[in-house]
Amino acid sequence: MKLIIMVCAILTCLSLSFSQVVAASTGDVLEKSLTQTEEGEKPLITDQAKPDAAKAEESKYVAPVNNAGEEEGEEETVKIADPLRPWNNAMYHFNDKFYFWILKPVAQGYSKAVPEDMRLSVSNFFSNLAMPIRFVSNLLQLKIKNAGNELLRFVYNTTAGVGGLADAAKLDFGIKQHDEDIGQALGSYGIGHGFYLVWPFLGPSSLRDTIGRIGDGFLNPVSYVTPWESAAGIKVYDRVNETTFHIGDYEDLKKSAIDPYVSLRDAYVQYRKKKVEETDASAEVESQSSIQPVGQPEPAQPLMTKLEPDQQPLNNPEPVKQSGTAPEPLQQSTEQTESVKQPGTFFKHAETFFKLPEPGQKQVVPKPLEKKELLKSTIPNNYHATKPVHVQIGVFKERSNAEDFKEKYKKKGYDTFTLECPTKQPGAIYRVLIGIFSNKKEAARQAYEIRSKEKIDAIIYHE
Amino acid sequence: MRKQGIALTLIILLIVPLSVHAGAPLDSVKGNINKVLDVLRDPALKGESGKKTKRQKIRSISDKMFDYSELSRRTLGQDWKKLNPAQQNEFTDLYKSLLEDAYADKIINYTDEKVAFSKENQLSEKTFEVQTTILTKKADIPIYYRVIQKDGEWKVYDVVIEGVSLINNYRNQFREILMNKSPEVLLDTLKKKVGKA
Repeated sequence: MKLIIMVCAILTCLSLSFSQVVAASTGDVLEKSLTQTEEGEKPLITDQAKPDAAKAEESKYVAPVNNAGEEEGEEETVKIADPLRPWNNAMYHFNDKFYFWILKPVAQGYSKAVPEDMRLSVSNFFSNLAMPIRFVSNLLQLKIKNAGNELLRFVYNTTAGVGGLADAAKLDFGIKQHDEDIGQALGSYGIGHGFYLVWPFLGPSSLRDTIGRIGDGFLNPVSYVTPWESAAGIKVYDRVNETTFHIGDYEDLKKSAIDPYVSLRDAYVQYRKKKVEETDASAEVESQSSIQPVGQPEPAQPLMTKLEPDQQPLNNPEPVKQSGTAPEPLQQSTEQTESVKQPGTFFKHAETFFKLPEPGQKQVVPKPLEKKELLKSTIPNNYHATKPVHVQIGVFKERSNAEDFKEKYKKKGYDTFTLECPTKQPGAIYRVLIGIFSNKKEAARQAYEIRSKEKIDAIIYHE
Repeated sequence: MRKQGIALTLIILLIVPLSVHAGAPLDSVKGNINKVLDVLRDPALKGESGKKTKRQKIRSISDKMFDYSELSRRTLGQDWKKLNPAQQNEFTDLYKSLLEDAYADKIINYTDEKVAFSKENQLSEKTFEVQTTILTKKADIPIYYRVIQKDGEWKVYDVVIEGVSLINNYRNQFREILMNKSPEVLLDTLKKKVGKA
């Protein structure tokens, strides 16, 4: 019992120190926005003023004036003009019928005939094929590194990924796809939607995104297949294949909405807004990490929990498995270590080929970002949502040993923390991890450094 | 050992929300989501027969997890004042059952997805955003919970899925109604929707 209390105390202290990091990091970002642009000042002041007012008013049941103001501020950013509503409404109903009468039954039949893994491969294949769209869109936003990564991904996935059937670049090196399209590139220039526009078969769009889509069409190799009927056929097949992964989404939206048309329109605008802003966020993260290669001081304590199937088609041979991610205890898989070794050679080449921007050069990138500082001011800082990647420097059966180890390396200047992981057997193992890295590549670099410098095993840990 | 672990987590969960500092929002959301996961995983509740119990259990967790009056107030924004206190109460109740009906089934049908808790961002003095990701085979879906501190506890007032904020989405729908119609019409529409669902 005493032990439990002690551990609790330690944990509370830990979370306290975490809170300081949170405060520090958020403070940093706020300060940054203050110094960077004048627009940055506005939200900061209102942000601070609001809670006080809200606090004063909260006891009353009536909505605080300030709070309502805050809501208004949020609204401005998600509104879209809808002058063609009669057309859009008609098209919405057309698409609704098209989905329920044709697309959904076809997709359901197809998904019964074709196993999921194969459908995923098809999805990867088309996604790989559409690389030019992402490449050009990244370039248009001066996202040189992402564009280089797209090229790299294409080469690697086409060869090692067998014609793009597998996303090998993501699996082997953690190079993620940068989902960009021309519409987003236009959005990043500060071009607004114009107005909402629903297309038959294609669904929600806007003036800007329609123009973007035409651009995408020119960049999509499938468009150049002759005769055009074949190109159309291929695109329809791609669409059906994609739909199999989204059956139920539209039904859910319809079920939960008071007015599905308005709900879908709003969801589209919010989603696209995030997509446009996401590019900024990831740029920010990248430039941050280049300044601080050891890892960002992020207060994250990733913890994975596995959801068990509600109704499993087959009996789970290992019911104990439910306890969690069930990581391989105390053993470092060869696959993981391999990916650590690789970057030393592979990425060095990649870097020289694609000239990844150096910290100094990165200063050039913020230019297009400043424009959207205005838009960004209403959303929380750091909007990226990537899978957390860490470097693991040790695994222990005893928490205290893990804590000691953690402290030892913390003193050496590493951003260490421990993570409790349930095992297949009752009990847990304790991993000592370093930092959060925005991608596997950086983690690999750090792991490599630690291995050569500290002469201890360091591998990438993710999930 | 496992029981001890559970006891430990419970104690931590009890202690941490009391201490008023950052780090707590993430723990609070994590605790609640883990409770939901426990219900979903409960082998005693497998199959059709367990569904009703599951739904009830999840409902009681969500009651504690969400601050429905804050959620309702923020959803209507400036329109909130158009409703009188009685209507506000009724709206909160109806809106709550609408959300429960809409999302309970969805949650119950989750299969082998994983949930990752990545981090928390401070939005304002009293509000935080806890970022989680549901990892599926096809893609990673970012789900952010926005929480506000009320009486030393962190309560969810908005859920942002793939950048789409729940309360923003509903606000636009409700506003269209309130633009030309009275609050009574809004309440009637809600009643119909809840009754039907």
